[in-house]
Formats: sequence, C-alpha cells, structure tokens
Amino acid sequence: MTRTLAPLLIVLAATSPLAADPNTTQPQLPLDAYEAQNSLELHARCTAWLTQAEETIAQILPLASENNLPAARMKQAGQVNADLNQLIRNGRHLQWMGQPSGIDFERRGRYWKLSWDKVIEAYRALPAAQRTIEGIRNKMRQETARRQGQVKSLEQLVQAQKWQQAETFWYDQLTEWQAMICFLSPGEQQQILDPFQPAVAAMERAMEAIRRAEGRDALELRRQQVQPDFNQTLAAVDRLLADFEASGTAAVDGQSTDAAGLLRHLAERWKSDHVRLLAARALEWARGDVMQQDSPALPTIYSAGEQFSGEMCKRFERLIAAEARRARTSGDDAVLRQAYAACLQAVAPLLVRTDYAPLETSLRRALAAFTEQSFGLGEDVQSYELATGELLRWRRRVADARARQLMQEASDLRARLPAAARSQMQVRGLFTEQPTGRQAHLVGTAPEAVRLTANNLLGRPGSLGPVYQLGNSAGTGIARFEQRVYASFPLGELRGALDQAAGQLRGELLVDEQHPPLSLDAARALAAAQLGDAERVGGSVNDLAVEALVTRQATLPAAAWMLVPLGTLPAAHYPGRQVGNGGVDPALEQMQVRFSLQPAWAHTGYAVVELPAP
Amino acid sequence: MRLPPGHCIVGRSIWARAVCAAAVWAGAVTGCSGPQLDELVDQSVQKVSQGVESVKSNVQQAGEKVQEQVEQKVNQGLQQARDQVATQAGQAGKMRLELDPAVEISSCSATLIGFRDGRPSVLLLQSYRDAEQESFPSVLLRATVPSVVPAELAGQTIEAELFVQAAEAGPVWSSDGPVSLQIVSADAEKISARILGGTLRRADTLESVSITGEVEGRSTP
Repeated sequence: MTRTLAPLLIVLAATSPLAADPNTTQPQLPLDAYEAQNSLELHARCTAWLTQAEETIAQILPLASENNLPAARMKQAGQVNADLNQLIRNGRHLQWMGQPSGIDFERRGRYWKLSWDKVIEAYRALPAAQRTIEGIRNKMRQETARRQGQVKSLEQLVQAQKWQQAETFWYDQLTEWQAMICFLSPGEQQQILDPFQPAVAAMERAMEAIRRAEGRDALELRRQQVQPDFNQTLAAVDRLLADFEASGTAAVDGQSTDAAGLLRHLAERWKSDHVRLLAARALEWARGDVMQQDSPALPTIYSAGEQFSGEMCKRFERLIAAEARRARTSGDDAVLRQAYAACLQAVAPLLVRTDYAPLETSLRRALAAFTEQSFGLGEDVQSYELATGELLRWRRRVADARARQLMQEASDLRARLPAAARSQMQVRGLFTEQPTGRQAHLVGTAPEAVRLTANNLLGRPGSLGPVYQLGNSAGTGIARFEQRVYASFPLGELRGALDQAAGQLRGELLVDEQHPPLSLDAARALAAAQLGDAERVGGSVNDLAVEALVTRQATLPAAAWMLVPLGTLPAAHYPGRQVGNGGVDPALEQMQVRFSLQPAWAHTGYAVVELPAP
Repeated sequence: MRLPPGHCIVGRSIWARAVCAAAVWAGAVTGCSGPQLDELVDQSVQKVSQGVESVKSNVQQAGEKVQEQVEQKVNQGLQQARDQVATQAGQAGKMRLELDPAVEISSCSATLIGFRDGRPSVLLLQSYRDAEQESFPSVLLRATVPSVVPAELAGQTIEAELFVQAAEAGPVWSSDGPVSLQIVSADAEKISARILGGTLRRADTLESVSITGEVEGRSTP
C-alpha cells in the first residue's frame, strides 16, 4: 500500500483553499467556477465535501499505509466514503450546469475512491473494527421491513414522475447509509441497495434530462445577459460622431470631449464589448456540452463579432477624417499639427495591444488626411519617417538577435507545454500519452496536471509574449492567451529597466514635451514603451496554474481585455466538440495553463532589457 | 540633399516628376562601376526621355503656350537629371570600417534631415539607398546634428549610433554608447567623416570590439 499511495500524499501537502485555480503551491484547489444558475452554491458544497474528505484522507491514509488503522476513526472513514460519493454525483450535476469544475470534482471523487476503497477494505479486516461492523449489520437487518416500505415509496414517486422528490428521498437516505454500509461486504451492500435500483435508474435518467434542460436554458439566459448589443453600441457611437462632425466636440458622460478623447472612448467601448463577447462565446461552448452538440449560436457570435470589429474600424476612420477636416479648415498650421499628434497618441496604445490588420489600415488611411494637403506638416512627417524609420528597423534587428540568443535557453513556453504536460505512465496531465491532436484538456484531475507540468517546468527558464502591463500598482504583466497558455506575474525590477528603455527610445525618436512623434510607427513604439509592454519576457517559471478555458473566458475582467486581441475571435481557441473518427472533445474538459515568471529580460521590440543575474 | 525644408519637389510639378524619375534611377545604380555604369546612365537618360515624351503627349491639349513652358521646364529637368545620374553613378560614396576583417563598401548615401517644428536635425549615412534595396555588408550611421546646413557641420565632432551587419545571415553589431564621428568636410554633394572611436557590441553574444573608420556619403535626392 505504501508504494501505491505515496504519490497521492504529495497532492495533499497543501494549505487551505482560496478562490483560485489549482496551482503549484495549492494544487488541491478546485477549478474555479463562474456564475450561472445556482451552480456557485453547488460548487461551494462540492468544495466542502472535497476539502473534508481530503483532510480526513490526509490523516488516515498514512496510517493505513503503515498498517496502523485507528478503529476509533471508522466513523470518519465512513463519512469520507459518503462525501466522495456526493462529490462524484454532484460533480456530474455541475457539468450539466456547464461548470468545468464538475468534471474535476467527479474525477477527484473517483480518484480518491480508488485508494479509499482499499482503506475501507482494510477496516473490514481490522479485528478492532469487528464490533462496530457487527453493529451496522444488525441495524441494517432490523431495518429490512422499513427499507421495503422505502422501496415502495420511491417506486410510487417515480411512477408519479415526481422526479425531484424521488431524488431527494433517495439520496438523503443513501448518504446516511453510505457512511455505514461501506464496511459491510459487497454482497451485503448489494442486498440492501439492489431493490431500489430499477426506480433509481429511472429517476436518474429523468433527472439528467431535467438538469440538462435547466442548464441549457440558464446558460442561454446568462449568455443573453452578457452578450453585447452591438447595434446599440454602434448607434451610440454614431450619435457621438454626428455631434462631433457638427460641432467639433461631443459629450461623453456629460463631459465635452475632443477628437482624442472620443478616440479613446471608442476604444473603451470596443474593449468592453469584446470582453463580453468572449464571455458569451464561452457560455455557448459550455451550453454545447450540456446539449451534447455544438451550440448553433456560435457561428452568429463569430460573425457578429467580426462585423462589429469592421464597423468600429470605419468609425475610427470617420472620426479621424472629421478631425483632419476640422483642423485643415482652421487654416492654422499649429492647430493641424496639434490635432494630428493628438490623434496619433490616442490610437497608438490601442494599436500596440491588438494586431487587427483592418484597424491599422483604417488608421493609416485616416491619418494620411492630415498630411495630404498640408505642405508643412506633410513634409515634416515625411522627414520624420526618414529620420526614425531606419533607426527603428535596426533597433528591432539588434533586439531580435539578442532575444533569439536568450530564447535558446528560455524557449517559448507555449511550444513546450504539450511535452511538459503529456501524461506519463499513471500520472495524467493535459495531453494523452499518444498525441491525438486535441489541445490541452483534463486527462485526469487538475492536481495531477499541475504536478506533472510543474515537475517539467517549475524553476526552468522560459519566455512568453507579447506581455502587457496592466497598469496596476503591482506592475502586473500579462502574456497574451494563445495555444492555451498565458501568463500573469509582477514585472518587479524589470519595470524600472523598461522605463529606462522607454526614456532612451523617446530621445532617439526626437520626442520631447514640445515635439510629439510624427509617424504611426514611432507613436506605436513609444506607446508600447510607455505602457511598459514587451514583445516577449523571459525568466524562470516560478508558478503555474491549471484553469478551465470556459471559466477563464467567461469571467475575464474588463482590464484584461488584451489577453485576446480585438478583432476576429480566434476559432482556434476551441474549434468545437467534434474531432476526427467521430470522437468528442468536450468544451468543459478544455484547459489552459497560467504561468508566472520571475522575469529576467524583456524584448520591447526595439531593445532587450536584461536584469543582472541574481 | 533634403535640406533646407521644403526643397523636396516630388510630385509638385510635371518637370519635377521627370527629374525625380531620373534621380530614383540614379539611386538604384549606386554601387555599380565601369562600363556597366555607362550603360545604365544611357538607359536612365533614355527612360527619362520616354517619360518626357509621355508628359509632352499629356499636355498637348493644354495649348501651345503652356506646352512651350512645359517643354522648357522639362528640358531643364532633363539636364539636371542627366547631371545627377552622371554624378551619382560615378561617385557612389564609400565606407570603410576597421574591424576584423575590415568592412569595405563602395556605396554610401548621406541624408541630412531637418524639421520645421524645431526638433533636432538628423544625419543618416548608410550603405544602401533604402530598406528595400539593402544589400550586405550593411551599415547605418545616425546622428542628431546641430545644423541643417552641410557646410556648418564641417570640422565638428558629433556623437553617432552605428549599426553593422556584414552578411545577411551573420551577426548584427550596434554601438555600445555613442561613436565619435568627425565631419571632415560637408557640402551639398557629399559628406566625408571619420569614425574616431567607439565600441561595437555584437547583438547576440554581447561581445565588444573597438571601431574606427571612414565614410564618404553622397547626397541623396
């Protein structure tokens, strides 16, 4: 028993659960859940069952492995059996509500049951337990007549199709028994439970259908609540644009706003709707699992998102064109320059954090309107592009060469995940032992996946990009979500180094308080530097967490909008339930890994900043 | 030479277009030498002449007087273009960087860039005409300079950034701290400068070497 149970004990070496996903310091945490129906309440109950069970298991299992089972703790051992059964059953219920955590709860229940059945078996043979077992046997014998009545009651409820009542009636009783009858022989248990089975099977079938229908409707309702109304957004933006075109300003939240302010407002509207669309898509992925087919609403979500993004590009272009017209009409060169620079600086931060080509095309086309008929500004812009373009190109070339060198050691973590999280022998990770083409998914349980991946990557050098600073006091940098990997970690001392690099670039791009950048490329480079963004950050992996794809995208905070770039939603995030050869790749099983790095260097696009080795 | 501001004539008149066509052609041949060059000069003049014919045809309807004026301008432009092509093709500039082995390039274009809004002027000395036409070895020297008038730069020692890549698949080097660049002479046609000293750092391995050298950049149109 010692050999079999030893790996399991490592999982238990942990502290109390917090609202987070399973990670290297707390691998035993449940997968996080999102709000829909009453599933958070059930999720909390499952967490309690799991926690209680694991606490007792952690105490008793080492004693079992030493053949030193305490008879005095038999009751607790029986309770673990009941809790694990509750966990398995309610984990399934959570799945029918669209919660990925349900899969992990169910599997963790089964995982522990495998070893706990051996503990129970050991108790059955324990001389000191025989008196208690005999007591249970007598009690169940005495209740035979009562049980026959209970079978009849359950059958009547089933016949009357009072499914909910039948379920409550049955499981209240079963849970009480399961803490005791597990110590009886399998034959004795069958004798007690078998008479209920026909009614229970009918009730289970009916309740699954009911729960799936409720889950489907609840997810649909929730999706309608979160999905953005693009027509409303575009109509609101159009009103602002019409006001601006008429008067040169428009009121945002009661405040008179100029073109640059409006450009930033448009960007905020887009980001907000983008995050809500991601949530809507995630809910539909989950609903597909509940309905056991891909949601028919998904194509509409993709096309609506794409259309909206195209329409937003047109609005950006229209607003900049109106501002260029206004500035040119003034006949004042200073006004024209100021307006051009303000527009550049308003759009550059958005462009830095998204690589949606139609947006860049629209912006370049619109900004050209400032310079087309203005000899002075046009000439300066042309000169500026000449004076800075080659410098940026060479700076990038130098930085790329250094980053390539650094990446020989700190290679891309996305590319390494499939090998690092591939199941080995009896430890199950996020990929099956034999590659199937499926992306990261829960092969076994989340703590196993965390442990396996951490064994291969924790403390090792690695890199990820692009990395965006959230702008919070902790200086959190987040790496974009791609190939089921992203990162979130404090940039620490790297922040200062990035600020220094930003200052240097500013000087090289001939920019100071009186002289703003004059080209979109320079404005973009400076915006990235000033935001503290980097194309890639390298360092050593100091933590990782396994998260459910559905939950993460359904609960993405607005501030983290850049995790998935604006524009067309990437279908590659999860192509759908159907895989080759008629196989199914359930949405709720889809996982991703969040890394944390101890940053050592960053490639800003135009420089590589490196911290001295500790 | 791009300076003083406002001197760029690209797209501003019919005759200027012809001049610019020839000038761009001149840039394309930078780096060639010998009989090849004569052939290219002839070809470029021929191309300009073809362009002139086309321009003539377009302005037929504009009336005799206008045509006369246009022809006069076109002829001026053509002469300028001929001069420029001959000058640039014969003298493409050069660069020599004392590295191990030395980097020697038989072309170097000089661009002096000024701004109307008061930001510092920039001098670019590069071994290629533009990014699309870059060949290797490739070198860029870039400095902010105190004047947009070439003659005023003569004799001055300025700080510059230097980038070098000897082969397309080879290592990239950049200056680690400023390189000291002495402008030996400067006029509207060319800028001669001496790299007095500095350190070049290899981008990937961070290996450092000292650098000196000489450049003679020909003005770009």
